[in-house]
Formats: sequence, C-alpha cells, structure tokens
Amino acid sequence: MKYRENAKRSQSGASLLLIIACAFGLVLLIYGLFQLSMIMGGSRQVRNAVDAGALNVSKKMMEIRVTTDPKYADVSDTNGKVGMSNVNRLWGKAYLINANLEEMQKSGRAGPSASSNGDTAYQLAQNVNDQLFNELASSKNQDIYFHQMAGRRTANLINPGMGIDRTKTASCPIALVDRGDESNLTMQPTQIPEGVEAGKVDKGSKSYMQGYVPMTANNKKFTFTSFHEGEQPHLISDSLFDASRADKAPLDDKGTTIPNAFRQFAEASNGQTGVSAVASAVANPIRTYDMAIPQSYITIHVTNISIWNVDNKFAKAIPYNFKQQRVHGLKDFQTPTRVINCFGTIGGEYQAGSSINVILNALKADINPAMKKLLQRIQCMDPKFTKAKLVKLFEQQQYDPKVLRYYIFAADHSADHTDPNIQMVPENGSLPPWIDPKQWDPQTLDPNLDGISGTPLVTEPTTTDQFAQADQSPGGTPQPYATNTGVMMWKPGTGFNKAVGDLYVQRLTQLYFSSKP
Amino acid sequence: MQRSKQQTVKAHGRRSRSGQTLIEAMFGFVILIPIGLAAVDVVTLMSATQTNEQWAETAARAAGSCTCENMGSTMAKKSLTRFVPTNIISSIEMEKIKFDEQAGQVTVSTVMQVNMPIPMPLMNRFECRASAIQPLLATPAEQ
Repeated sequence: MKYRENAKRSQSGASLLLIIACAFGLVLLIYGLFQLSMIMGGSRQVRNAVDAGALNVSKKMMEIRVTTDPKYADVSDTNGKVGMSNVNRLWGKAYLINANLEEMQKSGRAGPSASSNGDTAYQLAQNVNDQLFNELASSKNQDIYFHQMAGRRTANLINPGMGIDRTKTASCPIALVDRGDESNLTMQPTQIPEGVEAGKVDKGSKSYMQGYVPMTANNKKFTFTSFHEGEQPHLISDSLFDASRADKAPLDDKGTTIPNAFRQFAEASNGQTGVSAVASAVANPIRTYDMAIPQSYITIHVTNISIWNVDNKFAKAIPYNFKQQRVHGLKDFQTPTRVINCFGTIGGEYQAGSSINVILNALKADINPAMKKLLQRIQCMDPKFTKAKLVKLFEQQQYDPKVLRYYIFAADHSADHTDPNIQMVPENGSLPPWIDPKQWDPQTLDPNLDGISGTPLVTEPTTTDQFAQADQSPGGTPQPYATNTGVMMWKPGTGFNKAVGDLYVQRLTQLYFSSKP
Repeated sequence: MQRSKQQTVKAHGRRSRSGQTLIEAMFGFVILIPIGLAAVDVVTLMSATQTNEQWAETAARAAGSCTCENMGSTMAKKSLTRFVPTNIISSIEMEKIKFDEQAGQVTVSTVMQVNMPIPMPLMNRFECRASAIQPLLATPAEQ
C-alpha cells in the first residue's frame, strides 16, 4: 500500500519534472540562441566598425603632409606641403629633371653642373618621400584616424557601451596594390625627352604615368603610386592586399615606396567572449595632376649681325633690325689704293614681318628640331600645350629690337600651380618673381642653365644676294656681293634651377667689297 | 467478484492517472507554449534589430560615397529601396542624415517597422531604430 502511494507520487512527479526539465531546456536553448545571436551581432558590429575605420584611415591618410624642400615648392599644396595626393607630382618633377638630364647627356649637351643637379633633385625628392612614408606607416597616425570612426561605434551586443579598439600590432601592414595601373599623374608622351622611356598607361584620351612599376631616368629609379582614376577609397580583399604587401613584395631595396593600401585590425571583448576583425582599404585622393615643372622658363634671343669685309678682310660689324633696310656701312673707307663708300641692303629675310614666328622661319632650313625641343620643354611647364599654340604664341609676339631676350614661362595664379598659362614676355616685361632677368650674362647667358650649346641645332644653307645685297661707290672688282646664313643654337637646362632651355637664333649677313677699281 | 472489484479499482486508477498526466501536460503546455512563442518574438525582434543595423550601415555607406548632403540623402534612401518588405518587417526608412563635411563623416539613422509574428497584447508592433557612421569618401583630397 505504501509502495503504491510512493509509486503514485513518483509518477505524478515525473510529469512535473519532465515539464520543468523541458521548460528549463527551452529557456536554456533560448538563452543559448540569444547569446549566439549576440556574439554574431557583435561580430558584425566589430566588422562594420573595422570596415569604417579602415575606410577612414585610407581617406584621412591624405591629410598627412610633410614640408617639402623649396626646390619643390611649385609642386606642393597650397600650404607648401606634400602628401599622398601630390607625392606623384613631386616625383614627376624629379623625373622630368632627370629625363632632361639623360637626354642632355646622350646628346653631349650636359654641362658640368647638370649631373649633380640631377642627383640633388632626386635626393631631395627621396628625402621628402621618406619623411612622408614614415608618417604614413606610423601606427600612431593610423590609430588616430581609425578611432575617429571606429571609436564612435560600440560592440554593444557583446558588451554594452564598450568601444572597439584597434589591435596594437608591432607593424601596420601597408600594401602597394594595383601595380602596373595608372597613377594620378597625367602626362603627354611628347613631354618626355627623346631617348628616354617612360612607363605610361593610356586610359581614354589620357595618358598616366604608370604606378608601381619602377622606371629609370639618369640611372635612377622612379616609382609612382597607383591611384585609379575616378575611384573612391574602398575596401579590398585580404588576398589582394597580401599579394601586394610592402614588406613581402617590396618594389625597392629601401622599402619606402609610398603605399596606397592600409590594413586595420580591431577587437572587442567582454572578458569571456572576444571578437576580432580585419579590413583592408585602398586609398585614392580623387585628384589628378599634370606631370610638370611648373616654375620653369625658356629664353629666346636673336641677334642679327652684318659683317662688312673689304678685300675679304673684316672691316666692321653692324647689328641690324628685323626689317629690310639700306645701310651705309662704311663711310669714306680708306683702302690702300682709294677711298670707298660701302652700302648694303640687309634684313631682307624679314620682309614677311618681325614676329618671332617670322624670325624663326627666316631660316631657310627645317626648324622642326628646334620647335620639337622648345615644345618638349614648354610641355614640362604645361603638358597640354601644343605645337599649334606655340606657333600662335610666336606669331603674336613682335620682336622688339630694344629687347635682348624673351622669356617663355607658365603664368599660374592658382595657389597650387595647377593652372598654367604659357606666356612670352620680354626681359623688361612683367615677369614672375621667380625669374630674375638680372642674372643673365651676355657671355655665359643664364647661369641657371646647366647645359651647353654644342653644335647648332639648325643651320641654314648660305644664300648669296638673295636676302642681302651689297654695292659700293666707286664700283669695285669683283662686284660686291652679300651672303646670308643663320643658325639656331640650343642650350638646354634640366629645370633644376628653373631654366629649361635657351634658343639662340643668330643671323649672319656678310658683305664683301673690293678696293680694286 | 473480489478480483473484478480489484480490476475495476485498477482501471479507475489508470484513468485517473492518465487524466492527471493530461492535466499536467496541459499545464505544462500552458507554461511552455507562451515561453516558446515569446522566444519566437524575441528572436524575431533581435533579428530585425540586427537587420536594421545592417541597413543603416548600407545607407550610411551609400551616403558616404556622395559629395553633398542632398545627394547623400538621395543615395541613402535609394539604397533602402532594395529592401523587400515582409509580413514581419513591413518597412524601413531613413529617419535622418547628418552630413558633416568638416569632420568628413556622415551619420544615417533608419527606422524599421517590425510586426511580431506572435502578436501579444500591447506588443504586436515595434519600431526599431539604428544609426551608422561612415567616412565621406567622395570628397577629393585638399589641394
């Protein structure tokens, strides 16, 4: 009987226990699912925070700027600094200087200081680059920008109110992604001097200096940072980042190539559960620049000399203007046998006018080599400048006989020298403060030019009695005659000292008279 | 006769025991079913909250790729149009946007209407709010 009562109690208790167990199990299951959901949600929160933090780092890295050398002030930002966005501009100028130097060396026109100027240009650019690299690779800077974004988020599904911290790592992985693609530096193939190979990427109608493919000029390696045109900073996969990591796949021995991608690690923990996430993002300044030496100039000067000879001996040199004129060069000139008066009609080559264009084309020879040199150097100031614009510039400029030389330079009123306007101004005209015409020396020309003239670039065949005529009173035997010729001399400059070239047109009219009746 | 009486008592005992079990089971269901149903609602609400957070993130990212507040607002709203309403989540809308060009950040808040799968008194509909902050990525680097 007692046993039966016990059995009854245990049977009825069994159902109750089962229900309690089920309820407990259900509550436990719900709690477990809740916790799992919290962890998964927290993990997602951390991932989102790291993504946002990584994007912010790649965006804000553009704000890190370093002071540049005064030699590169014309390629710096409005505050005279260089950052990720314009570092390619700095290297572009250094590259053009060294490319000009290489061409000068190959053509035998490099002066004694040219080589050291190229070296200094490279070293100064490298110093600024290294300084910037150290700032970009700094964990401290990345921390600041990461926390600007991730620090304003919480992983409250793991631990309410708890922030997300950047994992303190010994090194901050950086990468050089999009190797071989375009940089944010546009270029014109014609602005690269002859004989120098530049890596470029054509995209639409534009050409860009190639990113992360080292190229050589003057035996020096130049590496531009890749930035896709029209792209915003964005997240990239870890595999893409890892394949281009600067420490695992460097581009140079020094390993200071400016990176374009950054990786961030972060973690959140409540003591029991920890969640970590990693995100990599590629930066982009969304700004392109033209490769240029913005503050550089070319000088053009012309001399017309008439040499008066009697019996093939030099008697007098008289400069002449850019118009046809009759000159009484030798008045009552005493020869061994008699007195003669010598006349010349000179300047006939300028019958078409006296614009620079006429002056250059007065040389009855192919002046294209000179035009090519001029255009290449002007495109160092403004890559978009064309030959048609150059001809127009020359047509519009009348050569004032009182002016010794003309300066071609890019007038630029923008604060960061990105809006060049090529102008041609006489030495006594309105020149920018960075051009000092007083430095000019009639013998050595511009001391800022680090090249040498060498052989004439263009030589006109000598013509006789075509553009000048000679006559004398009383007449002589043989008959007086006049020859006319001209040369174009090109003295190049690397651009390190702002001067990129001097074009010298020398016209020579020789007049021959005779003392014999 | 004795035996038959005994059998009758046993049969009554069995019936009463099964009735008791039934009552206990029903009592158990009365406890378990509301817990289970509440759990469904809680899980739904949590899932909706997290979905809302993700949509806020998506909208903020869309706004972050724009250059001005108007465009950012339009793009954030447009990104939310990809959401397909269900019986549970009836709508999600952008509540506000803070386009801070100075700090280079955009904050987007979204509001989501959640219908409980198991409507309970005074708890059949919830409004979930979430906000996300993203960097402004479309602004060019300073000159």
